[in-house]
Amino acid sequence: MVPETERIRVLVVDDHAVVRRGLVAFLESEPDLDLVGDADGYDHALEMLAELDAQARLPDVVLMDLQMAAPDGIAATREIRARYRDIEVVALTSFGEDSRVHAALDAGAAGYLLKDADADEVSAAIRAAHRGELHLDPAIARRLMEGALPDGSTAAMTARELQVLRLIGTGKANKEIAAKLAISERTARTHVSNILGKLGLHSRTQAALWAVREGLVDTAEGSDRADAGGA
Amino acid sequence: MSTQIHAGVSRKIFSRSAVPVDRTAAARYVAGVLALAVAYVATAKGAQSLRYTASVSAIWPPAGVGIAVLYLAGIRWWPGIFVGELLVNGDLLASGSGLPVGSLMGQQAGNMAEVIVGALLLRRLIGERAALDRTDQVGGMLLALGTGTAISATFGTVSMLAGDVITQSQAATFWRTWWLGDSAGALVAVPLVITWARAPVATLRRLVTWEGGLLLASVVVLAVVSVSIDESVTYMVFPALIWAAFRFGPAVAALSTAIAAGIAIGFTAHEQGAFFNHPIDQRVLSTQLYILVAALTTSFLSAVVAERRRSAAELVEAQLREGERALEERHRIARDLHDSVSQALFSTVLHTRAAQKALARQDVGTAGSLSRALRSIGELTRSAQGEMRALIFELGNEAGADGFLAALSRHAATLTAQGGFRVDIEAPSQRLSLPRQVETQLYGIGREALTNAARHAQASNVTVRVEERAGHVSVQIDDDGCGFDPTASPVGHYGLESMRSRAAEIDAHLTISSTRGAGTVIRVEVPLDSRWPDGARD
Repeated sequence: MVPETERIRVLVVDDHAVVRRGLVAFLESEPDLDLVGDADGYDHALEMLAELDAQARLPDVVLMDLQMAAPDGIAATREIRARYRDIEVVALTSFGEDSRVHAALDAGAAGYLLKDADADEVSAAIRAAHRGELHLDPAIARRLMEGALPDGSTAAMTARELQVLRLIGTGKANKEIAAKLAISERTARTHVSNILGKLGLHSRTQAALWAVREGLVDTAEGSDRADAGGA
Repeated sequence: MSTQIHAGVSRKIFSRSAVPVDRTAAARYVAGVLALAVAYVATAKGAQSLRYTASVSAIWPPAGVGIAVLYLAGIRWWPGIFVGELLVNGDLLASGSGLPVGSLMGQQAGNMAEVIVGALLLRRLIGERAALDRTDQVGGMLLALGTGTAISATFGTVSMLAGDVITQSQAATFWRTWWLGDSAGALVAVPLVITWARAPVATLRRLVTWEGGLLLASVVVLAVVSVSIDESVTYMVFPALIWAAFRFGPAVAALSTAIAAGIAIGFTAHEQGAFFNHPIDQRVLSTQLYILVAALTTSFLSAVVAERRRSAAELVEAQLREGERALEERHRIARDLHDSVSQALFSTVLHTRAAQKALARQDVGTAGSLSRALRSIGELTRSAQGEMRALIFELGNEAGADGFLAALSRHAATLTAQGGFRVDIEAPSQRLSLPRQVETQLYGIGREALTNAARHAQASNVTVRVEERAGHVSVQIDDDGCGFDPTASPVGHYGLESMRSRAAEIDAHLTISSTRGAGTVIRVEVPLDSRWPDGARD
């Protein structure tokens, strides 16, 4: 048994009872995951988070259904990311349209799964998100990679920004980037937003995909995030 | 108490403001009555100028004009008929026709009753503002006019008998001549007035075309030929009248009949042509029957043609609605499957995996067969998920498996099936390799454009041109319909919005150019660059 302190605390949010029961049953069978609760919508989820916060038992990862009655999972993702910085959100939905994927990633989701994923992929995505990595459904990742990323250029970037972009490409969070480059987290964040501005991108996920597509990330370096889209 | 005060106040307000309103209304009423009287007298004078003999007019259209005006404007305008009739009879009296005052008074009463009863019956039988584009309306008109004119003929005959103007033995012929004359006149005048009053500008615009000119010329030439040759070839005019009924509708058909009738009477009155060779009674009867038959045939024929055209349009509309319903139903089923079955399958996958893990942790004797069963359940569920995904994709994919051009051709075939509408599709012979989103949106835009052209623009020719070059695919749809003002908020506003949002969905450039009366061009250009993963780029 994995010690409780090392287990990843997970909250499930889905308004579909059948799916919720399946997720609960499956996540409880994973020894390294600690299911702290399941909510059936936006309000319920935020209530539970406030309670868990009071007990200092905030989840590490929220598994979020996007397709819920308004306010939907994208709004919930945005709200959770705004209130609880340390919680990662993995989006789960039956729809793979580019616009929804972008909306979820913009809202701060660290993963995007389709509801026909294999069960083990769900737990893999939760673990990846907990490590600060990005996990996308392979088909969606491929589409995003080959798809509508603007043809920005690194020409206008400083050497430091290029370094940061490479690290984003390996799935590193701001804190890790800051540690690796010996800069403050705030500086790292500034670099990231400058990079997004120069490339005309909206999220660090897009930046990561862009970096991989443009070959800025070594395969060796990128291999530890091979599940980041099966790229 | 308070009610009384309130009533008093409102009466005061009413009486104050009502006076000037009343005065204007009264002035307008008097002017209208006078105008109607003048029109009545003018028509009567016209008919009298084409008298065959001093006393007999072959047709008497004033009654028809009166009926049509009272039908359209209301029975309250009857004093116009009264004044007009009074003027006509006064003129007869003053011109020394020798008709006794009593007989003229009887004739006046009969003519008044004819117009009022005719108009009332017409309103009752065919409703208000009828277009005469239905056979039951034409039948109702025939009944109303026949009844009204019978009243006038009876009053007239009795009055003339009483005044010793005619003898008993002449009464039957007199009645018949009177009745047929008024009926023929009314059957020409009533359709002419009430169809043209509905849409004078549109009717005129339809007439002022090369075909309209050719039609009128044919009506005149054939009408002249049909009554001016001594042989009996009066049927010669019918091809022109049938042409009018088939291609131009009730209003122009009524005008054509009126022209043919006028020509027939004019020729005979000027002592020429086929009817003049008959003895006088025969001559009048032949003219009347000729006009009656022409008017009836043309009215019924134009109504039948309009009915046929309407039901063809309704059929197309019904088919389109049917197609849209089927499409909506497919999407609904796809959504439902997505919301229920797919979710349940996903849950089953999770439960199965949980069971497998639980089993792996326990060491039970039956582990082998249980885990085999669980693996089977997992595999079956996965394959059911795959099949469900394919099914949902198929149901939700508008363009279908054979591409947007094939789907668009099918839609065009539905629209053109009822005739009057033609779609030409010019496209590369080999199928374009387009991403699915592009196919779907191009089909949606093309479908909307074709439907608009058929439904709202009344276009008769539409060309769809599909081209691929320089990394772009363009689809252009031209129609020759009535066009619209793209800056105004038109009827098909929603359709245009959906085209715009569809174009935006695939980063396409959409231009909609249209001017009233000059057709519409819709052009959409899709760049096939790097943004499409599985597109023509590969």
